[in-house]
Amino acid sequence: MKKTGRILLVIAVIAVCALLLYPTIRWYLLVPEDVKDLAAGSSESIRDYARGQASREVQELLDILRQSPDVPVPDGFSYLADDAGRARKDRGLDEPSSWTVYELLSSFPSEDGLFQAIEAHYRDTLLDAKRLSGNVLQLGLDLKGGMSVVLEADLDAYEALHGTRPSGSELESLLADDIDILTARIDQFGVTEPDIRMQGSDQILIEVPGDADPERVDSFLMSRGSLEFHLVDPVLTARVNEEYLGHRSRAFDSDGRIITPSYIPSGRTLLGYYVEDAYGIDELQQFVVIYDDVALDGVHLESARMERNPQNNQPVVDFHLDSEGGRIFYAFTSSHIGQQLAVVMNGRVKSVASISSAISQDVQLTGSFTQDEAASLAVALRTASLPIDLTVVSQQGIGATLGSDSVAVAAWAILLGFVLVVAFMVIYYGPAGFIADIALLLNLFMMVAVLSALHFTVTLSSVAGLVLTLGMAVDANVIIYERMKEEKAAGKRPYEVVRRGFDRAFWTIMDSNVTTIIAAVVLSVLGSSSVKGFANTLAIGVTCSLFTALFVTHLIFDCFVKEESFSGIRLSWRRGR
Amino acid sequence: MRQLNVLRYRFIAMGASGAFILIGIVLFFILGFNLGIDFGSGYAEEFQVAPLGFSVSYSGPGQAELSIEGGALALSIRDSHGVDTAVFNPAGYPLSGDVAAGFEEKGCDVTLADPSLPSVNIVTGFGFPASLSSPVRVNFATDTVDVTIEDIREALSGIDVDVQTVGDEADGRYQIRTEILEGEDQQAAERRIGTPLAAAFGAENIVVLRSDFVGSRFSSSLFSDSLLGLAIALALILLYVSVRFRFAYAISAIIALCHDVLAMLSFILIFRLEVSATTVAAVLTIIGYSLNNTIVIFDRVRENIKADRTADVDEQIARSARQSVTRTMITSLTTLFAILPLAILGSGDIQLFAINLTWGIVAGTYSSMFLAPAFLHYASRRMPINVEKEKKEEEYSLV
Repeated sequence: MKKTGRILLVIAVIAVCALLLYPTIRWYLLVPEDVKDLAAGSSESIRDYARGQASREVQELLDILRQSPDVPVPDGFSYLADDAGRARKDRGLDEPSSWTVYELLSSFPSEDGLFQAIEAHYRDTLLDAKRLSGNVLQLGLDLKGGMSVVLEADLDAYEALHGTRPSGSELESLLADDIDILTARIDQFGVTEPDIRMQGSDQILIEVPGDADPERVDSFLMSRGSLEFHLVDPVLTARVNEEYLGHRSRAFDSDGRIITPSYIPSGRTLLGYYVEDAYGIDELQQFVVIYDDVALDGVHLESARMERNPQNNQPVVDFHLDSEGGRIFYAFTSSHIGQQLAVVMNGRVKSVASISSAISQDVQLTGSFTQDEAASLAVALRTASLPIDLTVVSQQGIGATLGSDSVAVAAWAILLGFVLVVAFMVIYYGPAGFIADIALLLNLFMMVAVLSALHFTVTLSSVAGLVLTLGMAVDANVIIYERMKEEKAAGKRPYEVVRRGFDRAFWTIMDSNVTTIIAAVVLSVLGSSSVKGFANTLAIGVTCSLFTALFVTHLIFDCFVKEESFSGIRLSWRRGR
Repeated sequence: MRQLNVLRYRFIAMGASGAFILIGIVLFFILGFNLGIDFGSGYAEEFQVAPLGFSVSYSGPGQAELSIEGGALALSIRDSHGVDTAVFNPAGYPLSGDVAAGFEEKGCDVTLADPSLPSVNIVTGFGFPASLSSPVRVNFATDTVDVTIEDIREALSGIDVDVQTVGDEADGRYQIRTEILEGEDQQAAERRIGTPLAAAFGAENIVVLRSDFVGSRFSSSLFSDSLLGLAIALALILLYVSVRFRFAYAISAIIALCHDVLAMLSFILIFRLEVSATTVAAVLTIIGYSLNNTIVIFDRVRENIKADRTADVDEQIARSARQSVTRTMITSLTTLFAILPLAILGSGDIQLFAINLTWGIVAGTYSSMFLAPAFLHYASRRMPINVEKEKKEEEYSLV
């Protein structure tokens, strides 16, 4: 390969690594601190904030409009210009050369449109930041504190209940349901971002950063969500929707809560009807007024699943009640045929259905829901109980102080080790040592980039892998330099020294590093999660060191030592070496 | 200067290694391994006895969260207006009473227990960052050691536990380990330890820093997985070296590796180090590392033999080891430079891991230089390595 091509390749690799690191850099350097704080909240608190902010800003704009409609739009609202422009275009109007408050507000067809535009702005900004925070290089639980729990499917209990043991694929789908339910339960906690995933064939690993109180974790493992069926008041529901749907800024107070109008009598409650949107947030669709009396409590629910109506292939949700629930439900439905029933989960309406006939134990909910909605409703209905029971096989909690102590120590140890290695190379190999150090730095950069691109969390064990890799990465350079010294001692010309040094060291380096990579890959596949972190770092680091030592250092040497030159790069501070 | 001939020392080296491993084997049968709970199943808890400064809760609008930022308490109240964060650093709030007053100012409900504790000594365990919807305890250590390891042992007398000091003795941090009783779960084990401790030191003064619960099913799978991993790694390495070199090299390298593994286990047995999942990682790392050294030397042997097939094989082996000695030493040194700070400064698992690695690097370097060539010497007598076979191009360049 020509030298230009090689230089371009190195630049390309550096550029790709920089690109991989970009989310991490953006998060730590470019996202404002207050946005980070807000994005750290649960999806619900983000929604409350976005609604509250929208309600406040609509009010503020209306105040300005009332006093002086012709002032230019204040800087804080300039983000609305794009939305306003689009709204104007939809209505066939031209964009004005400069936005006044009047022009801005008149662009939106209604106050509700303005409210939604503002809410969408804050929601998108924060959700974007929240997503970004999940994509950056993260510290593991052992470094920032938290709790990890390994749960195992209780096959004996399942067998006792159902008579048979689940097969491999059955078990997988049962556990997948368990994971959905646990995720839903933990989400109700808010604050932290849990990581729940399948481990092996019959285990679930839960990692909850931060709030590591074992009792709280136990409580969501054991708890049941509240699920109730309530009768709907159709008259009041229609009235509230008519009033609120067009003017959402009136429906929420500045804390983002729904304002209950005074005409709702006691004994009835106004709730929001929520459907999960693409962001994973429950999106308010409309308002529902329900009777406070509970028609049926969710404890009577035995199972629920999504099915398809054989006639029109529409998704439906089937659920099965226990015998007592069947009696209650039959008595209730037979006297309320034609009326509407709301499924209320944790204070939110998840579904509204008409009672078409008296029903006892087997209930079918039909409605105009999509397959995803039906599936998530089935999960919501099931949240009351896990399809397969889980037992705790290991539980580890680390307090945050201990975590931050370890971070500080590990950071110092890495830095110290790094400085020692870098200094040693320069002291022992002189100018050539500098080149090895450049390769080492590049190696470190590439490692961090690859680790962050693969969404690895940085744990103590991966820190150890990093440290070890630093020590071993210079090995390839050592092999090459020792070879060069031998060639030099044999009286070769500088160019020959470089060429033969690299060529003869190639297979030595390959063979010795491939064996290390073999050990690391085996560890990474079979090891427990703490060992995996170490093995992944080691494997990535050793692989990167092959590139930096055999390709990058070779290139640097070739740039300085030309075929016709009589002086090479010195391999020691001592004279004549 | 007399030239170094590693083969001359082969009997001394094999004798010394044999004796060391023998001590390990004897200790294994007398004392057995000091198994960590992830291998032995059990419950471990690390805690500190620190007096309660105050407890705090928040019932105003929005959600309040308490966290630790750079050793100081941070309160953030999140409502629809955004996030309001206040940090109570020890410089501005030197005593626990000052911090408590700061919380009250922010609208929190505070129950003061001891206002005179130095706030710089904050000790936080589980539950941080914590939601203040229910009262959260905030503890501060005193500057003196109030609770010694004997006190802990006394409090727990009657229960079969193992108590150790963690880190600096002055910190008063202790680790308790116990085996799990039949059918006991995490909460039951925690209660068994926690109840007598609470009786002795007061429940509100105990801060649990870390807890580990490993059920027996988990630990048995860990052990078999580790052995399987070791076997697979060795088999793959044997295969790779056989293909790239010859079987004589591969078998010599593998025997040298077995020595490294046994030498590490002996070291762990002699110094009574804990065996945990990270020990397996350390052993496997050393396999990769020591093999790396051995391969570099064997590569030289192969190259030298190819250059002159008529020369004495033993002489060639000794010469190759000699030619590689600088490189072997320098690589070991740089790796030790990187790992030693962690072995000295680190704590807990990671320190243990670094200590294991440090010894493994020393033992691995030694075995690559003295044992592997000796084994190759014996192997080459049965499987000659200086007859024509290699056809591979031994020079290669990426560019």
